[in-house]
Amino acid sequence: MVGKFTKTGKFRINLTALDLLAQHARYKVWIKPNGVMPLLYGGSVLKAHVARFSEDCGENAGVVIYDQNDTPLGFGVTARSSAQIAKLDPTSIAVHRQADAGEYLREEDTLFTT
Amino acid sequence: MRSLTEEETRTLFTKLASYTGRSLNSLITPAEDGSMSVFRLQGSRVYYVNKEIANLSVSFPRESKLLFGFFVIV
Repeated sequence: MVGKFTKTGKFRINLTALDLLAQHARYKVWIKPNGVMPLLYGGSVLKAHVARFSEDCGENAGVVIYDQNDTPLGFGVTARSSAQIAKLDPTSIAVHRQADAGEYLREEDTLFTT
Repeated sequence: MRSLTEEETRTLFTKLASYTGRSLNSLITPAEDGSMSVFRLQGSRVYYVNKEIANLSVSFPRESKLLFGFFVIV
């Protein structure tokens, strides 16, 4: 499943599309081990968690989030462009989370319901 | 299950393109072995599914269908 259309006609990408996105991702962000758990519990990616970032990535661009072993963990939207992120202080948000693999447990009851 | 309307396709591809960029094209062109996957709508949900499976699934009435595609159990 890629996602669903909302009643207002917008499209929302579901976590189950992660595999698809990960294979074709344009912008990627790799996070350090200390950022993995916060992400899997539904938190955003902070600047302190970022290990590596795709270059020339704009603001509000879609990114796929990987851990250090290149395992896709989720996806989100960048809060700042990759050039600006370098100047941020460590506690500010770098990537707003859209979906993360923790949803398989947290949303287990509703993930596949119609 | 049905294929997407033009407007739905536009909404979907705009959204997907923000993640995939140009490689979105490789999603909708046939693979080297000739297999191809398509986007199909069932209720409000969109599935990306092998075309053969999608064609087979039309044999089942829409109301009784929950989802279709591959399930890999590890």
